[in-house]
Amino acid sequence: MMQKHQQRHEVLQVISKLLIPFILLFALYVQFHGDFGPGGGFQAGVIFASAFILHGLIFGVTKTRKVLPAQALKTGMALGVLLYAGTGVASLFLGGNFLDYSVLAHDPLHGQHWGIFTIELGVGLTVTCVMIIMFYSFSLRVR
Amino acid sequence: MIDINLSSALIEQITIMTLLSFLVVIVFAIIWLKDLFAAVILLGVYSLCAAAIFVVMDAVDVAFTEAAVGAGISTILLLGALSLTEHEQKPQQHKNFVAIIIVIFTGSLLIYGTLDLPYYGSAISAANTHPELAERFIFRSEAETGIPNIVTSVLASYRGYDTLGETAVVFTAAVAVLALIGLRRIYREGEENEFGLTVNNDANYRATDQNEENIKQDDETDIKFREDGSVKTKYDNANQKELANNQDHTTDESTAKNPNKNGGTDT
Repeated sequence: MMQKHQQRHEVLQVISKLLIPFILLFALYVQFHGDFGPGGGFQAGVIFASAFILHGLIFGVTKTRKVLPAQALKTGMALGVLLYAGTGVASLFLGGNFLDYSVLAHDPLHGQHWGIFTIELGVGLTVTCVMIIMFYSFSLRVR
Repeated sequence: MIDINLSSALIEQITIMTLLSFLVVIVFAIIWLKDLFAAVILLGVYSLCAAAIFVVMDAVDVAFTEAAVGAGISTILLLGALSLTEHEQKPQQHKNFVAIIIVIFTGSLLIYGTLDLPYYGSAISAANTHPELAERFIFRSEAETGIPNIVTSVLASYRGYDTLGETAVVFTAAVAVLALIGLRRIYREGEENEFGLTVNNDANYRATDQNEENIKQDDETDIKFREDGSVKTKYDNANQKELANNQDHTTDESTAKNPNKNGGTDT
């Protein structure tokens, strides 16, 4: 993002500042309401990432990298996969099959609920970090 | 009652056929276009049409994903990839007849293969001749997982392996992008970076992870690089000092109100 371009985008800057909190809120809604309506970790992750990508497009990627450093994203995308696979390993240690959530709590229904919540969180985390870091690496290159 | 059902089914069929024909038109337009920017935008339109088809077919979760990923993120990522290359497709100099014959042969084989598939909603499709699995999901998934949305319970619980694999694929994609492109910012000699500074040949500013420490510290990143002499401005010294003063007092709040102060393109 060249600075002289940003001067022209004053209207977009104000509008996107208004929009970004609502995009993040909608992503959280999609993430945690996916059990009841359409949505889930994948869609929520993409929507969450789109808020940061919008920030990067309007304000410049350098500013976005101050908000969300690439190192945090690298950690986050690995952490999401680990959270998912770790849930499976945890159920393995508690006496069930791999990714059998019923043994995670005393009540099988609660176990299913906690397992699905955790793995959706892992999917959302990985997808968010992957989308933002791909946007970083594509937009940081100057031909 | 029957008339209403029939007409709504007819409207649904017509809508699906119209959207499918849109898809065909868009695909031929993408093949025909030499302007890659227009092709990328048309790919976004293609995904949006596909999402509309999924909505009409009552597959809301799939439509959601298609609209968010296909029309949203992948369009932005393709545009980012396009900024690394030319906007025009290179004209094809030679004609390879062997290649076109292989492509036509494979394409017609694939179309021949679809002839055996049952039609949409057909009674002889595998889902309708072996309904035990669908019945199990529809009638017992809520009792077994406590989740009313069947799609979520199938994706996250019954088919948890698949979703774990999908997450691993997404992770691998990012690792591949980082390995191939990375997070370095490279400027050519005489090129202006985003602070309006011209870059020296011998010391290119690279926003690697080491430099990220500097970015995190404060807003004065560009001044730091100016001080250690790795970058030089195209402005005179007096202007530099003025810019530095502006930078000192500039926060994110004042950037939005007064973006002229931050850039240094004003003189």
